[in-house]
Amino acid sequence: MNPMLSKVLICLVIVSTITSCRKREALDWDSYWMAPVAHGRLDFNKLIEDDVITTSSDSTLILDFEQDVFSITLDEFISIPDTTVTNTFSSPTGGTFAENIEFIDEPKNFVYNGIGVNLAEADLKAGVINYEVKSPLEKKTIVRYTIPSVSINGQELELIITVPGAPPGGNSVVTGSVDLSGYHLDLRGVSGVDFNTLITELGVKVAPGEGSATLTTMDIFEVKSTFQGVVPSYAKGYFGEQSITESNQGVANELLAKYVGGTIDIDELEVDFFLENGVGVDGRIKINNITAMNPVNGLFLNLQHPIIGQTININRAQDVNPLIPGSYQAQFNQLNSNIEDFFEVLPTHFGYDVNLDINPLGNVSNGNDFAYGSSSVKAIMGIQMPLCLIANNLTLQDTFDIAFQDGNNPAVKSMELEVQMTNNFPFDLSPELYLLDEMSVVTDTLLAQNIPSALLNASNAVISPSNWQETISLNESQAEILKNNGRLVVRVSLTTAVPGTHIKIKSNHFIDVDIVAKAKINSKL
Amino acid sequence: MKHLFVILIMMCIGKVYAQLSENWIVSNSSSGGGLELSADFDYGMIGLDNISLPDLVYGGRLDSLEKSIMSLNLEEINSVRGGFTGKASYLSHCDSLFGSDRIAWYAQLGYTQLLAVDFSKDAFDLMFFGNQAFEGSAASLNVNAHRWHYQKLVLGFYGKKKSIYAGLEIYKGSDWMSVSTNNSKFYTANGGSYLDFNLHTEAQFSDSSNLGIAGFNGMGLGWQLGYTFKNEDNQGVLQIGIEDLGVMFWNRKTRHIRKDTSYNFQGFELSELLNGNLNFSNVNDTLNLTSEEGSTLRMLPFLISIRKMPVFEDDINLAVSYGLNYRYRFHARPEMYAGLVYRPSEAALISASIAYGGYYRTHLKFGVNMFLSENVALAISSRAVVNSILNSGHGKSVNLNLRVNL
Repeated sequence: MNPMLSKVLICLVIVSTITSCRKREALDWDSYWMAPVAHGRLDFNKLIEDDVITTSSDSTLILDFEQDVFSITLDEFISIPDTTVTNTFSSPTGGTFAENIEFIDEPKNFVYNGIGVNLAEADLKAGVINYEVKSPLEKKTIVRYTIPSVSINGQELELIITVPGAPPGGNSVVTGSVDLSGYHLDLRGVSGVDFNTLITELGVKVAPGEGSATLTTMDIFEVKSTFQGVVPSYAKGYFGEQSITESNQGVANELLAKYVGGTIDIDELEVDFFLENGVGVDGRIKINNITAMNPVNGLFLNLQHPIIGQTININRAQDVNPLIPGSYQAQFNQLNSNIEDFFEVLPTHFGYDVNLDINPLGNVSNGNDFAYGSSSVKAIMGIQMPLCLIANNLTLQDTFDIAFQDGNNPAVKSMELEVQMTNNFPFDLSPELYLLDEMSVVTDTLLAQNIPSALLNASNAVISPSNWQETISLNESQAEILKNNGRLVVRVSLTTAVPGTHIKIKSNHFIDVDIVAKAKINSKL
Repeated sequence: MKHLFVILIMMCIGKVYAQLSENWIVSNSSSGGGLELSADFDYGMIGLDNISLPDLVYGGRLDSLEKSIMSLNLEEINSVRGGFTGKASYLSHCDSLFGSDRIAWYAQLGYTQLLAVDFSKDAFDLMFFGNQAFEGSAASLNVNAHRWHYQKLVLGFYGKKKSIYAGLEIYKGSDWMSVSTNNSKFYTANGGSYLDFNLHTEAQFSDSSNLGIAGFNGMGLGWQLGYTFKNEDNQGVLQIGIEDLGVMFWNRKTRHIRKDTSYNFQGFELSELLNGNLNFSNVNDTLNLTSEEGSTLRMLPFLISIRKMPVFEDDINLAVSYGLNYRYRFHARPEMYAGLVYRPSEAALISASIAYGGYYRTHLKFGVNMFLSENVALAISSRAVVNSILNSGHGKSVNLNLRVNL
């Protein structure tokens, strides 16, 4: 073949190769998807998280739950502060100490300072002893430090501490700590009848193989132990005549945690009020006030009942297994109190102010007052309310985190949520849906509609449900906000179907919901 | 020239012997040693047309019209196949081997990347249009995909006169994938009220953390051998051969997925949603697409070639050639071809043939051999699918060879 022709052919191939190199971009396309998002039937049992709904014989739902009003616990009676105990040992005459022969300082009492009550015994759930041992001997020394007042499973706390030889004219120091969790503390001292008294014992010997050592009268062994962060799980002794004032203006009512507005009118309500004394001390309680607090609409109402402001004596608990608390019970109803008005405030929080005197008659238990870590003096309201009421824009709100996968591929360019509801409640419903940005500020209202109540007969009983359908559209920027922040606020207002008339909510009342998402998705490959 | 893929030039230096390269129209085996380098690049599609290809290969925005055109051209089952093979061979100069002066040894380094994908039209439509297009109907999710990426070292002997060769192939596996979702369905109910997955999946993947040419995910052994029958004038008449006839032991990090399951999704239960329990764990648990790891032994996509070579009479510069090629699990079907070879001069050969099978259905093959000097020869060939006439898909190949006698 002609050499020139062959060269031309080869050049053509090379040029073809070079010009064929084109940088690849991501393949980019939109597709259209649909999928069910949520479905289900919501009745009142599902709307309220806790299992607080019972049903009467006529199928009317009854709200039946207990609400803690106040609670005064062990740490308000007893606290064990930090304290330091120092043991020292020295030879009054000085002399030579043979190796491996222990010199024992006799057991000594130390007052545990700062305990406000006469504490005989305690079981500890937390705390430490930090110790520091000083030896003046120039030979290695073994120090045995025993605290008979501190024991676990009947074994006294004994520390064997090896202290290296001290420099000439100085001291050798060793430190350490012991976790007191699970230990028993006996504060009755050497006599066995004292209070707040620790026993410690110290023994010192020159370590075997070190030979004898000389000790002058100026040489002093010292063990310093500091009790820190001691918390009892059980305490026994005489807790004294204490007067405790407890006040709180923010006890949350979990049942109305999602309440954000509106009013109700209750047809019927009964509340059993319980006082329980789970502590082994006699008590005298005076409830100065219990307040229903609704900061949303600015309503605050004090409970009115004969026990408010009166002194109530309550017996001590009995230390048997299981513990039997002292108790007191009263009933609040429309005849003896303003309890309906109290709950019509729709309290999101409760406030109280209480005085508690313990041992008002002195040491009648002869030092056998007791308290467990879980013990308390507390007040509980047992509430029974048939769900027969008038609701006027009773509005509940919740925020939902929508979990999107990480990354931008595929990306939602737009979305429609097709919502279908069947309302079999005797309420008009007003659902609202808001989109939150990263600052938790509402950026868009996605839905604000009214769903009529179910159709009622002349007796205000539901005879047929109402149906409702709406499409919620999210554009690309809204979908982006939802994807990045993943938070939606759902708010629902309820208004009973017949104004001014109490309507019963029954077990066969419900809402059926079906939500289907249709999305335009952008993919890249 | 806006060619779609990089054209790789293969240069061959050395004496010719009967290796499996149909790019050479004639075989001219002779004694002596040398060095040979080769490479072949092919791709082909059935269903996808050549208008769609630039979009899919080069990327960019794929609008609704383009997607619709692609979809309209798709058949029930469609294919995309592509591959690159490269070889570097050394033929020894030794006078005798094992006491025989009729054979000599050769060594070869080979590189192979192959991809074969078959997919249903529904799978394409679901991916590119979404499931709204399937409202009230089921999409058939048939996808079969195979990919091999391996290198080999070949040690063998060749006959100096008999044009026979045989070699032991030692493989290093870089990457392997095998996916099958035959008979899988995805149903979208009217209004999107529920979705039904009916999934039948079997898949294997070599260690994905160790890919590329440096990846060492398997090793194996195999054979290549071939023979060229000659006539009385020492012209090659019939050439047969096989290569990559071996197995690869993919290592214990190979993942295996096998799942036959059905799942009905109606959305999340509203009470769970209200309680903040929105998660996809139930879906994942049901589909349970977890994989197991373990080693496995698999056959490689071996290549069989049978070729009737052109034999020129003294005064006739036109001859017939035909043959068959088949690469196991890679070719959709054996490729059969027949055509004419024209000899315009002693220094050139031109071939044209029509073929069926292989990567494509009906396609044309063209080739040129040029003997540039006594010791240098160049071979160029290419396939092209005649899509517009026979609606048989789209594809191209580039095969270039250069020989130099040292």
